[in-house]
Amino acid sequence: MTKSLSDLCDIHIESLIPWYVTNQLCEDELVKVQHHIDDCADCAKIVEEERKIAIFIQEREANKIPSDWKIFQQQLLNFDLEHPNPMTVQSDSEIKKSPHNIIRFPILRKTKIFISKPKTLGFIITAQAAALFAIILTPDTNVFNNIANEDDQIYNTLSSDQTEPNQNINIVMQFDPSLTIEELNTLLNNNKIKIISGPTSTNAYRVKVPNDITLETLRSHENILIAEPISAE
Amino acid sequence: MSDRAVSPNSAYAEQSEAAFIKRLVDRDMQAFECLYEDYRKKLSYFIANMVNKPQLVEEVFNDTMMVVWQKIGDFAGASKLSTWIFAIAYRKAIRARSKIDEPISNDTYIHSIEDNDTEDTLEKSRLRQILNKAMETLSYEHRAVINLTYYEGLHYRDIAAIMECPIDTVKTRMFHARRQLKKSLGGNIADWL
Ligand SMILES: [Zn+2]
Repeated sequence: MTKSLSDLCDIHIESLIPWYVTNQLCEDELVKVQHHIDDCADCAKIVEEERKIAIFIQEREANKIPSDWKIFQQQLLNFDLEHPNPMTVQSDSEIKKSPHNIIRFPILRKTKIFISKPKTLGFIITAQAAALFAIILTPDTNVFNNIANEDDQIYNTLSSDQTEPNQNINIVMQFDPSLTIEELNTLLNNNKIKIISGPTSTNAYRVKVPNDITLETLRSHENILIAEPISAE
Repeated sequence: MSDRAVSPNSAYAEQSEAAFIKRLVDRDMQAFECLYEDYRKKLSYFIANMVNKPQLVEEVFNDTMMVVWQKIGDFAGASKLSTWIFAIAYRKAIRARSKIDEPISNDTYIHSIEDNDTEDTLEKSRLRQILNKAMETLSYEHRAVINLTYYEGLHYRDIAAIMECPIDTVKTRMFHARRQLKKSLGGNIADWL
């Protein structure tokens, strides 16, 4: 019969056996355990038992997690749209307290472009978005044609998407970053894509497309990397 | 020995962990996709041992990765990235468990890898079944500590960080988990030796 551990063996040594078996102990502990099992047949037997159990545990496996990166990526993009500066994320309760979850552009705060006397919050966003594009794209392009007009600025408040069935579809889109401005413009015009806001830190744009264009059509376009409908939360 | 949690074969192993974390902080979507696919494998067993409904496993995994995306800027590198991610998954799994009414059973989700090329397959298969049943009798904390030690091959220090408990608690849990496992296995453990 085996002796009770507490009678003869240092409980501290015995409790290290699992990590002795998995070769995780530091030199100091390793020597102590090794020294003990050289003299203690009970603990040597425990080591063998634990080795066996470890192998059986390692032979277990789980089904692969049924998860879809494309769908998940959309959630990441949505998060960044709602929290343009993730390092200073508001708590959920703070977000709920504010009447509108306005998209803010952290890049803009660093720029020295000022907009004179905006009348409405919606206008601030329009002007800021325009300023943003002016910084990123060269000023003599007609990319501004693709920015939705001020009437569409309802889309800038994430909490108030009141899209009616016949209105255009709100989408998050990423384009091939190697596109020239002309190519981007052509792409936007040909597909009647209107940029609402962006880019975010992940280079995503919030856009509108006519509802007779399907997501599949957009996704099949080689220069559109991502086209995901914005989920109504 | 198992090195799943700190696999040197990870898609991003060529670069230093610090450089990889910097890419995540900089919102490099390709880097995050790498991480996502990598941890989809790494976390599958650990999460499935905590919550056994496929949709819950997926939910816990996605919640975990969302927190990684949200908080990577706060990750100070006090631990390994893998330890930090496992700790998030552990918390998310505990929270998910608290929402389930029925007891959790692992029969459908966890299984053993069978090898068919040895003569003792039947006997081994019987022993595996007994062990899998014995694992189910453990509390989720005891099961977690067994899995983190033997399946993930982690040091007790990392396990303490993941389970947010003192090192001595990890050792005590492991001690009791092993004792209970052997009790459930009964005389069968002698057959293995
Ligand atoms: Zn001993």
